[in-house]
Order: sequence, then structure tokens, then C-alpha cells
Amino acid sequence: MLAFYADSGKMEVNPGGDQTDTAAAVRSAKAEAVLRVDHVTKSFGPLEAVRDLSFEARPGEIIGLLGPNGAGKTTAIRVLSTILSPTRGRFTLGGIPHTKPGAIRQQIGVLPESAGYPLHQTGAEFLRYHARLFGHPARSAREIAASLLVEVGLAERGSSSIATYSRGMRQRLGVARALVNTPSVIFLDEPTLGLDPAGQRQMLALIRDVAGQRGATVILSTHFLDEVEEVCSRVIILNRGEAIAEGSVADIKRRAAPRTVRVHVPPEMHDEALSALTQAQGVARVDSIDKERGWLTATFDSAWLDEHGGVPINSAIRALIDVDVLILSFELEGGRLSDAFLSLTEEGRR
Amino acid sequence: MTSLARSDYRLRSAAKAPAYGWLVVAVQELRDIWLSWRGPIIVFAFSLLLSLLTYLAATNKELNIIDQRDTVNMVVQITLGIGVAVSLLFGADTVSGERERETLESLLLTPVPRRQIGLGKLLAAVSVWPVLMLVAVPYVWTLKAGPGLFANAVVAGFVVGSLLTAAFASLGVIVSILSNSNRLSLAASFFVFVVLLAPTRIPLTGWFGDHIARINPVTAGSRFVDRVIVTNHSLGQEWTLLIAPVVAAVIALAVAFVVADRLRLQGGIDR
Amino acid sequence: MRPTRLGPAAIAAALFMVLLVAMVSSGAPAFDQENAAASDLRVSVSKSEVSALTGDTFTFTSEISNNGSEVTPPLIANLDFVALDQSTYIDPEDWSPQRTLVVDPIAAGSSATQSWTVKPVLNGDVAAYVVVLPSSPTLATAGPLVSSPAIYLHVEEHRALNPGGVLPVVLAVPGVLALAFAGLRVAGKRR
Repeated sequence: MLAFYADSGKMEVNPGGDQTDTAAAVRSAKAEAVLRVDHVTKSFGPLEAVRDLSFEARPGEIIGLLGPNGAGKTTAIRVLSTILSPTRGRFTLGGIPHTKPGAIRQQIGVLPESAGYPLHQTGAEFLRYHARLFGHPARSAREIAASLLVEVGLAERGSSSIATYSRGMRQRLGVARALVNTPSVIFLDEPTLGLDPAGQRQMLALIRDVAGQRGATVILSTHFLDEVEEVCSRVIILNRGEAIAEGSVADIKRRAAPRTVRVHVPPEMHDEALSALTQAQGVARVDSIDKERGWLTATFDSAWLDEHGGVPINSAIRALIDVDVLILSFELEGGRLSDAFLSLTEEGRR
Repeated sequence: MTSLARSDYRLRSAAKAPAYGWLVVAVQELRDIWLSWRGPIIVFAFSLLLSLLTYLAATNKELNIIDQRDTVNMVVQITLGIGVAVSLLFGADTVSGERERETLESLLLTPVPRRQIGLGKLLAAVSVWPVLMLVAVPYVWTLKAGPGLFANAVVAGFVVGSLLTAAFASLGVIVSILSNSNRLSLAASFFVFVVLLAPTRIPLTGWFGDHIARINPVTAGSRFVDRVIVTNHSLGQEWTLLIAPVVAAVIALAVAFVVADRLRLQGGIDR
Repeated sequence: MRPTRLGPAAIAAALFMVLLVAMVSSGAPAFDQENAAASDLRVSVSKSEVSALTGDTFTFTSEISNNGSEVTPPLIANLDFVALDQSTYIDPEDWSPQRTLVVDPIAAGSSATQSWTVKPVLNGDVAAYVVVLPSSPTLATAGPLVSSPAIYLHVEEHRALNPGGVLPVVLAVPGVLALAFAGLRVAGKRR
């Protein structure tokens, strides 16, 4: 299913999405910003942990907050969730200025990176308590807790003490706690940290549902770039406290270094593949990486890629198929988010 | 995977700050203390201690080694000391302990005002005192002190204990809010208590000693109980000895009220 | 026989003797009287040997007799205890509420009786005795103190299971608390 991102005007493949995601994206594009961050800076003495951060977020968006360790992601989330107050700058959430932190807290849900849990409490008790802290009376707090336990897949373990929960279960409980007040903006700081692949997939699906079905804005801080590619509509890359890049995933990828396809063919077909790729449309250069094993790379012209949608795979594949070269594997180099990320952060380091 | 309700994407949060956030916090903290092992273990151990002391005291009383009033005084003073110390330690653990267990952040992310969080935690911290005093009542009664002495002993003990508990539990909460380390919070709070408790072990006589005894809330309170029980003075006769405990309670509560508003994820004043 | 005439020296000597007798009879009569009272006092006790359990109370009487010809000054009778095994410390205040008794002057030939209450608090062999001394400040010159014969106390330990009736409370309070907290915990888990 295709998801349309209004800000870029490009169509991107989003496997696993559905019409609701598309509709949500459309609504998101047209809706007013629910979170406006305006030159926010947070200093700890001489150290500026976050410097001059500005962005907007709309309902239903999932914004990935990327950055190396110490980039300021957690500090940014703590400022926007009112745990810390900004040194300079301002932000509004749902129209509420940051000078009213109590009112802002009513609108947000947060899963902190280092979330601890009272191990002697049960999951249900924990959620009931937090529902009460958000103003729900006792009866509706019980109902909310029960409902959320079902939503995050902990219904059968709700009456067990949190001490018996696995890491993944505690993370899901944390997400449930972040939803207890039906927030309009949700901050998730490393939600998949420590989870196994299955747990990560479940968490990402939950995040997509939260944004898509509830229309909540999700700010997702993570190290895992494939998560960002999978669920995020926009990305902000932080480095040393500063936002060094912002845009859709596709936009960020396009800022990566060379658009190169790495191809593996049978060694006896190496030369044939080399010739075919040299003649393929848009190819600026073809290199033989390992002739004996059949590895080649084809680097495309940037201007040609911009003109033709930025995806060089089809042209290279077509060229090899046309000459009946067997393709053992191919890989897009330089078009990955990780490449863009490394490139951008290295630039920042320089 | 999920079946989240499909609702208007412009959902507004239905949440608001609870009308009595301090009560919600206090109830949960009380549950944590009394439905877990912490509170019951302390109270049970205290009852065993009083049972042992009462039995020994009764034996000695029969042998005339110790006077009846001294026996009652000993039970009340021990109850005071343990009740105040435990409340102090609960107060000292209540915020810095949550910091170390990393559960404080989720509490700070709620719309409950910081002061109300502090108040709720303080109420839970002092909850052990009335329970200990209640446990001590049958022991005081059974020492056959007589109706007049029993009533005065219980009232004097309860009044002094309540004032000192309010003062020291508040001190514990203040230190806990300001400290990043739970160990430091507990040690510093207990140290202050021991420093103020130490003079009760030495005779404070003469003009200087008498004034020290009156200024120090612990010695003043201890002396008040002693004079009511042992010397058989009336409660009103020694009211001046309650000045220091009252002042200590008022000051500590006031400072806690101010400091609680600065409750942050990291210890110290807002950075 | 010629009559003897008293010369001035003789008169002086006689006057001196008269003066001396007067001084002795008025100036130091107390000294003589106290000395005489102390040595004429006898103290007896009503018991010579007692077997008791710790915590048991018994009484005995002491009698101070004035066998002299003069009334005694006010006296102090003091009850003392000595552990015969020489290693146990006896605190007299623990053994008797009466440490000392003041005895009014006793007329010559009369006696005065004092009643003493003793409650042994340690087991062992102990000697108790009453010593009498004048209450006057001139104690140092009053002569030897007068003591009664010793009363030999053989004390054995008395084990009371329920001293003062506290045992029910001592056992019941922890028991009730344990049950109450167990019940709270179960109720909390069920909820």
C-alpha cells in the first residue's frame, strides 16, 4: 500500500501499510501543527545539550529523532515533556505554551529511556495508579487499565507483579502507561531497546497503530535506523545537540553519498555484466570489485536520479536481465538511511 | 495486533490534574508501605521488642529493681525513638529512592503539582508513627500504671511523637528531594537525628544544660514525657517544653513545602 | 592538838578542784553521755536466719536497748547488706525501701523497736544487719558504732512465668499483628 507524503510530493513504498495510514497521512499533512518547537536550547552550565532546535509536528505524524550517543535526543524529549525547562527558546503543545507544564503534561504521554517500574506492583495496579494521577476516578481508572492491558497484549499478566515481567513486557507496559491519558503527543525514547526482533516488530506495529488509529503525534527517539525507515514519516537528525537534518525519510536518504548499486553475478558472467551496466541508463561509472567472485558496483548520475525518481535499482536490473546475466544478489549502496546518517554526522563531527 | 478505537484523529486528551493529587499519591504510597513487607515487618519487630522489654520490666518491677513509672516511661520513650526514626527514614527514601529505582520520572510526567506529590509522600512517611503508638498502648496499660498515669503517658507520648515525627519526616523528605543518592539521603537524615538524640543520654543540668535541653526538640520532648510520667507533673505544667518540638515541626514543614515545589528528576534546585 | 589553818595555796587548789568538777559535769557532759550511750546500747534483731525466694518479701524487727543511765541522743539505724560470696554487688536500695530510720532518744533502761521490710532481688547467701549511730555531728568522737547480729539470708531464684500479669499481652499483641498483616496481604493480592 502506498503512503502519500504531502510535504515531499513523492510516492514511497510502505509495505504493510493500509488505507488508514494513507488517510492519516493526508489528514496529517493538512492539519495544524500540534507541536511547535521554536529555537529551543538547553544548557547545563557551559554545555549546550540541545542547541537551537526548531520543528513542527502534526497529528498522526511519526517523527524519528535520530542521533549518535550524546546527541541530545533524550534531553530534547525531556525538555519537550517538561521534565526539564528550556534555557532559551519556547515551544507550544496543543496551543499550550511551555510555561504551563502542568497543562502540557495532561496532553502528552512519555515512555522514558530509563523507565523504572515499581516491581512489587502488578501491571494493572500500576496503570490504575497512573490513570488516577491523570484525574480519572477509581472506576474508570480500572476500566482504562484493563483496556490498555488488552491493547498492549498484557491482559493475561495484568495481575502479576511487574518483577515477573520480561524486558519486552515492561516496555509494553510503559507504552500503555504513556497512553493512559489518551495523549495527543507521545514521546517514545528508545522503545525497542533490549527487545528481541519479534518484540521490536510488535512494538513498531503498536507505534504505527497509535499514530494511525488514535491520530496521536509520535516522537520516536531511536538508534535503529531500520525502525525509522519502517514507521517514521519524518526524521530529525541530531548531532552534538543540534538538528543537522530534517525531512522525510526519502529526503534524508537522498542526501546520502553516491547512489550505487552493488551487484553479485556468477564469475563467468562478470565481463558481460560489466558491459551491460556500463550501457545502462543513468550509470556514470561501473567498477569491478572482485572479478573472481563476480562483484561489481554501478554508480548512477545524481542528476539523472533526481530526474527519474531517485531509485536506480530498476535501471540496473533491467540492463542485466536484458543480456540474460544471472543476478545472484544486489544491494543499493549509499541510498540507505544509515549511509545518510553516517555521512551527515561525520560532516557534523568535521 | 491491536484494536485501538477508531476515533477522530483530532482527539483531545481527556485527562486533567486530579482534584486531590496528594491523596492519590498518599493512598498509593500507603499501599506500597502497608501491603508490602516494609511497614508490617517494622511494626511486628517493634511489637516483639516491646514484648521483650515489657516482660523484663515486669520481672524487674516485681523485684522492685525498677519503679513502675520508670517502666512506663521507658516503653513510651522507646516508642517515640523508633517511631520518629522510622518516619525519618521513610521520608529520606521517598524521593531519592524513587530516583535510584528510576520510577520518579513517570511520576513527574503526570499533571499532579510537585507540592502535592511531596505532601502525599510525607503523609505516607508519617503513617508508621500512629501505628507504633497504637501498638504500644496495650503494653503501657498492662504495666498496671493506673488510670491516671496511663492516660497522661499516652497523651504525652502521642503529642510529642506527632510533633517530632512531623519535624523529622519533613527533614527526611527535604533531604531526599535535594539528594541524588539515596544512601546519602538516608545517612544525612539519620545523622541529624542522632546528633539531636545524643544529649538525651547525658544529664543536662545547670543553666546551660537546661537551655540546651529546651532548645533541642528531641531532648525537650523527651524531658516533657519524662516529667509527666515519672515526676507526675500535669500536661499543662510542662507546656514550655513543647515549644521546641512545635517550632521544629512548623519550620520543617514550611521548608518542605517550599522545597517540594522544586522537585526535579535530578536532585538539588532546578537546573 | 592545835587546829590547822587553810593557806592560800590550799584554797586555790580546792577552788581548782571544784572548778574542774564543775567543768566536767557541764562542759563535757555530752561527751561523757554519748560515750556512755554508745557503749550502753544494744541492738538485737528478731531473726537470725531466713530462707527466701527472689521477690519474696519478709519483715523483721530490730530493738535498740539503752542499758545506760542517761537518755540517748537521737539515733540513726541503718540497714546494710553484704554478699557472703564477696563477688555480688548488693544495692541496698533494691533490697529494702528503708535504708535508714531515725530513732528518737531512748530513755535510760528503755528500748525502741524498728520494723524492716526486705525483698531479696538476687539469689545467693547474704548477711543483713542493723547498725546504730548517733545523729550528732560529733560522730568522730562518739566511739564505736553498735551493730546487731547478722541475719543470714539464703535466697534462691524464683522464676515467675507471668510477672505482673503481662504475659497475655506480651504474646497476644505480636500474634494479633501477624494475623492482621497476613490478612491484609491476602486481601491486597485478591484485590
